[in-house]
Amino acid sequence: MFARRFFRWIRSRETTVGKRAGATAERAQNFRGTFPDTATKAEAPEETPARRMIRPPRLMAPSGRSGSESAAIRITAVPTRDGKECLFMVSRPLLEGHSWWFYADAPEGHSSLAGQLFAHDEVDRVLLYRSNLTIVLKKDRQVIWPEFARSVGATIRAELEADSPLLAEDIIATLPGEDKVREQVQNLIDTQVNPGVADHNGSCTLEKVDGNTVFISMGGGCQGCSLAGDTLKFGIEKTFRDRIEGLGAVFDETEHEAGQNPFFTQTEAAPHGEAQSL
Amino acid sequence: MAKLNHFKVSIDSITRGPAEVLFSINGNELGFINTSGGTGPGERFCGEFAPHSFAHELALIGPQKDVWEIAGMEITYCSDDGEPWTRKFGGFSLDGTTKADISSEPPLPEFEV
Repeated sequence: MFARRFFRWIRSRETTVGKRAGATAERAQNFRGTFPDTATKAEAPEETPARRMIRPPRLMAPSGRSGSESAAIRITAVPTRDGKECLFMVSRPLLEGHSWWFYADAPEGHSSLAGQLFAHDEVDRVLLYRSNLTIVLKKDRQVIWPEFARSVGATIRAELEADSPLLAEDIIATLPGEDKVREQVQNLIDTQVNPGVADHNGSCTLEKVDGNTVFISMGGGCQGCSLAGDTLKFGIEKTFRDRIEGLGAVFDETEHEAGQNPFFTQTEAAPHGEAQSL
Repeated sequence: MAKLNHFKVSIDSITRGPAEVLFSINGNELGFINTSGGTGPGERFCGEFAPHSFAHELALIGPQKDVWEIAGMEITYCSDDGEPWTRKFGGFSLDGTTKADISSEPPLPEFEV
């Protein structure tokens, strides 16, 4: 009984499969009929290899902001698109030779300017680098930048006119030299960072050290990765900061949108401390 | 990302470029419209296109044969947001294996304070 049922099922299955195969052949014939000249494999165009994307050098018109000889202090505010931070480009040097992150919970007395900025409850971190100041807001905090930036601009201007040191002298005295920073960062990249990101086919390269400011680039699987920013901020930078006393800003010089083999030239990329700040 | 409504290129050649200048937008290779000039040595090629689309990828395609040396390039972009903006590029070269990233986001708003 079971054997008869089984063979009946097999026969019905063969019929169904046969009908399906016939229908498929018919559809293929119709497709070839529609495109008689291109459907055959022999005549299909050869697949060309994907082109390598290069990034042509973008030229930036001189802004004339920094180092201006004018007596007036010019301050230009550039908020990021998401409004989470804002760069202030000042026509006077703020901190030459070094960079420094101020945190809201840092001891008072490091900087009168930072103290005044942290009086605003929305401010989480402040970066000083060359003639740039970057303000990063606390998570879930928002400000109306045109209004808030005017207040920040007035504070910066007042501090500069008062000739107050923007970073305490005793901190500047303890900042590490360029060679020491370079050696420590390279050592950490070799022993801690690269073995970690190698699991994702990534790599980190030390590009440049400027005082206590570090410029790195990320290659391999890290380049263009949507998580590269988090890897840098919560992984690489934290590794550096936890182990290098007096480290300044860490900037990512990777051209994450340039695909394979990007090359670095003088670009329109805004002065460091803008969108690339961490 | 802003929607790219229109862009216009102006390319100065050092060596002869392709007879038809192509660009790639989101993986689709297209030619420019309203073209003028040429890609011969010392010539300036002008062309434009109106994608009315979000350009996740925008690239200038290199010639299939030979190397196209470009002295400089200027591109004006128009998007839904704000005024048109222009990017200037320095010299570079393209060949059959390369394409140049010409995508650009509108400049960040800035103001004096």
